[in-house]
Amino acid sequence: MHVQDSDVKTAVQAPRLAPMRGFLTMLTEEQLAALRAYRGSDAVVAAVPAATEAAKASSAK
Amino acid sequence: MSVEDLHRIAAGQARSNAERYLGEFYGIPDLRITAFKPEIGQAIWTAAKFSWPDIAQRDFGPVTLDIAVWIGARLEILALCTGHGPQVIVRFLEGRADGDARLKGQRLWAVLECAANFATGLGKRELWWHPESEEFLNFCLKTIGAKQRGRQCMFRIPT
Repeated sequence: MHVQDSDVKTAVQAPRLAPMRGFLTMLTEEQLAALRAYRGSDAVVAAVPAATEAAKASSAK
Repeated sequence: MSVEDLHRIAAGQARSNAERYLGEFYGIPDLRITAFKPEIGQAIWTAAKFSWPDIAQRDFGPVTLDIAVWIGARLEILALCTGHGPQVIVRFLEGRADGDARLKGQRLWAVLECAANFATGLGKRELWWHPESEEFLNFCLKTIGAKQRGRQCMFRIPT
């Protein structure tokens, strides 16, 4: 089968998912135990991208 | 596959992976994780801190992960994360005040589990969130090794 350059290019550029990994698997046993035992407040406030925050700080100067 | 398709597939796969892992981790077999859907309007708790119907309608860009955690038919957690460069940021997160005792103090971890799957699938390297209290901020810094960036926490995904 004849493969054209354009076919090869398309195949290489097609976006693909990387292997996924969960947050809890990134922690040590000690960290996991502490995290699982945590029963305090876990509330978060609305977060903004760092670039937005930096732009705000810059415009406030 | 288009980039938009990739983001949508990454979000679905991340929810599915996190659902399976968290159900086992917390011993909650009927824990489910879905995208935002119309049923949320009826299932949301009263006096919610964030305006979830507005958040659900708003366009946060192409790299968006919306998370609804249910135990049985009861909605427990809503969260919305967005991707920016190497970051995935937990933009909004809220849990039911009278929520299931097994998830007390655990809601951010559940959302980070899902967000990390999403981030790694898309090749991103950092998770960001903004703890409300100083106490919780310190817990995140000392216990799980997050770095402080202003009032936000940054967790670098290990390679």
